[in-house]
Amino acid sequence: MAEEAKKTKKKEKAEKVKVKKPKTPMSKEKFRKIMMGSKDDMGLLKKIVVYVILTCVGFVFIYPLLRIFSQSFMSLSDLLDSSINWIPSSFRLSNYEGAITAMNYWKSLKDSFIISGLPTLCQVVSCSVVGYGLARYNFKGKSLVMGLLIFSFVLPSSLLLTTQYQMYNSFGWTGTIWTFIFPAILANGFKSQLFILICWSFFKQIPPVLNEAAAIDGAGHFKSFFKIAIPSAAGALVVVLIFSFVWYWNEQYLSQLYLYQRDASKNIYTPLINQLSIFQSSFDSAYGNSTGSSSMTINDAYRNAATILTITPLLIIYAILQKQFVESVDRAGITGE
Amino acid sequence: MSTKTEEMKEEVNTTEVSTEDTGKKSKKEEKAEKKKKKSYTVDELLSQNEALELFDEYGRKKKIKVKVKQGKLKKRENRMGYFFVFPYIVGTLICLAYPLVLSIIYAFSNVKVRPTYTELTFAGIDNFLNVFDKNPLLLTQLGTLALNMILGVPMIVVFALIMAMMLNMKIKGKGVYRTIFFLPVIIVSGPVMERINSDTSTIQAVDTTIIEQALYNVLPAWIASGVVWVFTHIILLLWYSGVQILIFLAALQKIDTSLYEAAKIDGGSNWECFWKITLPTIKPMLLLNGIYTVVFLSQDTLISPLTNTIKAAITSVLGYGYSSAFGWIYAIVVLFFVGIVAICFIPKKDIYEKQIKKTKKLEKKTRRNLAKHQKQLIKNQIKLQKAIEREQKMKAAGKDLGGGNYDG
Repeated sequence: MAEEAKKTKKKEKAEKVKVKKPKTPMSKEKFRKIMMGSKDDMGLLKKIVVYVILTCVGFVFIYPLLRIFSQSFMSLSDLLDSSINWIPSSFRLSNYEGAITAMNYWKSLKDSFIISGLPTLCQVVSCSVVGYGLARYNFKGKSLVMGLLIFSFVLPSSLLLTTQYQMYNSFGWTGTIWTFIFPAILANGFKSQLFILICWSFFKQIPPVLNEAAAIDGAGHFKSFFKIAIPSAAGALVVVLIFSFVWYWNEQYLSQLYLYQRDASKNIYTPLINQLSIFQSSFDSAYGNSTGSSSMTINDAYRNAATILTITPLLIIYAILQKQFVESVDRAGITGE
Repeated sequence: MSTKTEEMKEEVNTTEVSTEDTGKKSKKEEKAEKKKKKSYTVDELLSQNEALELFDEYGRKKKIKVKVKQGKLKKRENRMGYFFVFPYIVGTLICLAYPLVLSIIYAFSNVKVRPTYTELTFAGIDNFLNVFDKNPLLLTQLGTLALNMILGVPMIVVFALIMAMMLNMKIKGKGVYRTIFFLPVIIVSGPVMERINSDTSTIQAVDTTIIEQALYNVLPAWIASGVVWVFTHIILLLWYSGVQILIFLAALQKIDTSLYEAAKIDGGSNWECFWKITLPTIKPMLLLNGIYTVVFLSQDTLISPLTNTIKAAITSVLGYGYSSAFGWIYAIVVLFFVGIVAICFIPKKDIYEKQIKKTKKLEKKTRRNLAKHQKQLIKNQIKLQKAIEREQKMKAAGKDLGGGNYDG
């Protein structure tokens, strides 16, 4: 009995193996399905195309940065040597040293943080407050305010620069940080309109039931703003924070106009981006090139080192806040409807 | 629902008032009663106003919402909105309205800045003529700006849309790609961009001069120059589309996936889905992106050569009048481009929306008529009451005075 059973089992096994063994040649349809994809699944071919395009464009974004980075370590002979493309013969850190002294780096870095940090904080506060007011309350003249917002967004900023400059000049604020902080407090700073719109669209997503419930529990307008609106729209604040900081950091012309005076020694603030734009002359003055007794001459390596030094803080901040940033973009609040 | 409840509230309020006042003088009671009579319920009104159009084309009773004034509490709450928006209003008055008006005045006058005051004399359009006089390159610069806009804006918008759609697909390494694609947003700025766009650091493409020559031989000059422009500026355009990709990506993620599922069940292909679902849904974003791109490009020195001249004009010896006139000319040009983009991208209202608007208008009209009617009714009633009272008084007076007068 037992043997028979074994035999039958073996037979079954053999049959099973036999069933498995014969390979059916891949049908054309299946192949096509894998390559071209069905309606709800992307095909292999399409996937490859997507990856290739994404990688290529990503490469376009990354390439100049890498190039600048690698060149910032090169010596002049390396730069001219056509056989050296990416990796310099020796990592010359003196490029960075030169750039740091020419740009007066540590002082400028501090100034840059002040010039972009303080207005950014003011802007985050004021824009979130204004955006909340527009999103939650239905007061008379609300549509007028919205219209003003969009109008001032479209208006080229160069139109107002003359008279704004004159106004601040009459206040005696030119050369001080007040020219940046004052408009930021009043939600009229650099690209504030966009930030108000971002905050507005985030606050609009908060269900009004939450506010009502809070009101029943005795929360006032400010309490419900701080305890309900702000925590649930933290993503918007991160977006506003990053954008505002970056744009203030990169705003060269405004700081040139408001902060720099004719007498260069009187300048209180010297942000990095301005130092970068006048790098040539500051390098020359730092190393006495104008007098002819030059110890160093400027070349692309120095300029690239200065550029890297300027954008490094931004890259670090982006690396830290990147996750929140991408996530809050994912939550789809950046755009208003 | 809401109207009903609020009516209820009002009624409750009036009854409260009446109960409080019962102990007091009778005059107040009368007033309270009058108040009570002023608030009619909808059904009452409907029964009184059969002449009005209250039935729609299918013979059903139209739902007419009688607008009840916002409650006091709601009103007071909404007034807090002013408090929140207050900074923006003040800021707009100081930082936007005042400079704007001032620059209009400056543009039409000779400005001389004295240590204590500024002297203004009316100069007509001299400043504007000056701008054209002093800048022989102005027209050619405007031409290059127009060319750059016409080619650049559609390219950036389309490219951003394609990239956003790709980033929105189900692919591996999404996070890495997104981090890379948002990089331009962080870095793009004047001096850094110049460095990035310099010869040593951009990608060494194939030598384009041969291609350019070939193009100029084959195509008419204006097409060829456009194509060559695209060739030379393509990397710059890629770098400038960071924010646009962000905006599109956010919009794409808002689209309800069930829409696509429904379309797929009905046999729609991806291509059809794109044209029939994706594009119509993100049309407002197209408008936003188009306008943003125009505004951004108009302020960029690499695209618009005019910005440098304007910025130089601000600090030039020709004075504030000249620079504000220049600013206004440029603003008009930019607003012109914005207008073109707006005309191209503004979503047309479809028939359905039109119909809704129409019915809403009709509703508003009937409501207004109703209110009018109601007012008239109340007035009539008051008149009637007064007349009755007068009559009664007269009667009483007549009696009191002694019927002798008329007794004859």
